[in-house]
Amino acid sequence: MGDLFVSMVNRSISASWIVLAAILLRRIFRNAPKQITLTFWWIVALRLIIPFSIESAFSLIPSEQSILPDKLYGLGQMVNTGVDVIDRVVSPAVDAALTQRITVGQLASWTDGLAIVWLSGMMLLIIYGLLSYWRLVYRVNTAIKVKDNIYCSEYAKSPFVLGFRQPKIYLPFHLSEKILTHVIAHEQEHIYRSDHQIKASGFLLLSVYWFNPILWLAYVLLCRDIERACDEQVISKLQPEQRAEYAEALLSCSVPRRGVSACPIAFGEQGVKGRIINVLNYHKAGQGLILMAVVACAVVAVAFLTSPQRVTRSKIFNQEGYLITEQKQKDITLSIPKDVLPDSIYTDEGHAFEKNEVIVYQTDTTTIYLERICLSNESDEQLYFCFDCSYDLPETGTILVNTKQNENGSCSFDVRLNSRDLTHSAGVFTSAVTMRGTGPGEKFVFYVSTEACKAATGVMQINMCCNELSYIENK
Amino acid sequence: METPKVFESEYRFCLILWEHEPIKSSELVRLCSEQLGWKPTTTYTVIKRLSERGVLKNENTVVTALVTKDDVQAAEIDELVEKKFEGSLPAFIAAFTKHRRFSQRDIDEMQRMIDRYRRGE
Repeated sequence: MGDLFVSMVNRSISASWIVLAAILLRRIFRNAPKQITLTFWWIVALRLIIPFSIESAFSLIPSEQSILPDKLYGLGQMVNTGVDVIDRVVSPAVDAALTQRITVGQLASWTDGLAIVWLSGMMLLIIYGLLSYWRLVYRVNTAIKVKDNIYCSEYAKSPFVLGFRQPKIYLPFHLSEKILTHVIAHEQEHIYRSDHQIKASGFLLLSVYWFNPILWLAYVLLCRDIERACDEQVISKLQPEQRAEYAEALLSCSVPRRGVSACPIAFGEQGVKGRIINVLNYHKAGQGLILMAVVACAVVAVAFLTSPQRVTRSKIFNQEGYLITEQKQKDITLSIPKDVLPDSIYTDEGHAFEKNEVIVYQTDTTTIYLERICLSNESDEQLYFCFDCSYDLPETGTILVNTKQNENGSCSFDVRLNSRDLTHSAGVFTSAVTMRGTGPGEKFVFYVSTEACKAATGVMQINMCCNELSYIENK
Repeated sequence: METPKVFESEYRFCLILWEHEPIKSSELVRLCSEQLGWKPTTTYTVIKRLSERGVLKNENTVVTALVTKDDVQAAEIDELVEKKFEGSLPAFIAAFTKHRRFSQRDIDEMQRMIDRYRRGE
């Protein structure tokens, strides 16, 4: 649950970059048809909905994962927005604030806690949306049917559309003939473009990502753009004199309203002043401008829907875009704290640990952690200790691996024990450790004498040898 | 007695009632569905609401009105005059005459009404 939440936070941060770009481009292309600028909001929505993304060299997102849950080496490095200035200021600050090193176990429950807050917030918003919708439906049930899907109700302070499967238009009583035609044309256009459904879906997305204030701004702007696009469609079919009438209709129906509404699209809401200006200044945009706006959309889509190409272990090993400059053997000591091992390790099934829960060795790029302990298949007198590695791969760096690169370009597993001794706080158990094997992936396994493990106290240590690989980017 | 307040949609409902009363509630439901586009549940809710307010009564599924159209119209004018003309009826009439053109027939009709009023009818 905590992981899901973290990935959603990351996605919403990527989406926020799109929103900022969209705001900028909206301003630049303010004379282009609003239909096109609406596409920017579709891109934001796509980014929020789709969990994965294709990598490309054209990605403008500074960092795919702005919040890294696994990274414990200096907790401040959890903040990695990819923007240098922010990182340089915030990381040390966070580090200073949390001088104690937290184990990942605690960290996991922290993100879980946040996930619960997030879910509650989301539920509250959804319930609020539903309740306000139903309340409105109830209020207008005494509306008088005028024609087809048009109703009049004293509760309609300004005209609006309500209902999803069979949307109905609700008007106030006693509207003048002139205003009526324009209002009805506008609302029918909304229905035709399924705007009420778009708004509702937008609100749903917003409830999921409620913790991101930039997305609230995006929603408000989306609503405004929907109105303007609708205005433009209606206006384009009118004569200039009728446009002035339309603007008057807008003015007389204008109702001061708070910023965010889940529900209906009322005629007089959403930045009336801007809409009136837009209506009066309307003229068809030139082909050139339209083309530029479309291109801008496409660029934004590629730049922000794709994610930056990530360094992966396989790319390094296969030297795809990377060059291995050096590899040498490195002696390290794994430190396993006895007191975090539960008694269930002494069973056939054993105990599996969470990723990075028990870290036995760490550098700034490589984290070796305990993956699992159980009784060996062959004999109860030996315990199967399985270790795994996780990485934070920079463009250029040095990592510890359980393999070695051969001259012919292939790689083979290579991990060795330097000593069969198991050292612990109170002494040494000789010949307590043997090499079992390596793989799959970054895993490797030692056998440890069950008796020794039971008797050990404090921190157990194993001396081993693995490979240190240095690589550089090779673009 | 204070005439109860009747809202716009309810007023349209009352128009139907006044025209057809006394009327069985099921028949009323049919008429409201035809002329107003109301669902049966809506009509029953409105009947209940208005009976609580004292606008109509519903006995043995027969609905009759307790106030007349005149009563309701008079109450609306009273409210309007009170709210927007500080209770002054002359001010209301003055505003009215300023904005409307009256035909000779309208003037004659109004004169007759004033005369009838004077005579105490």
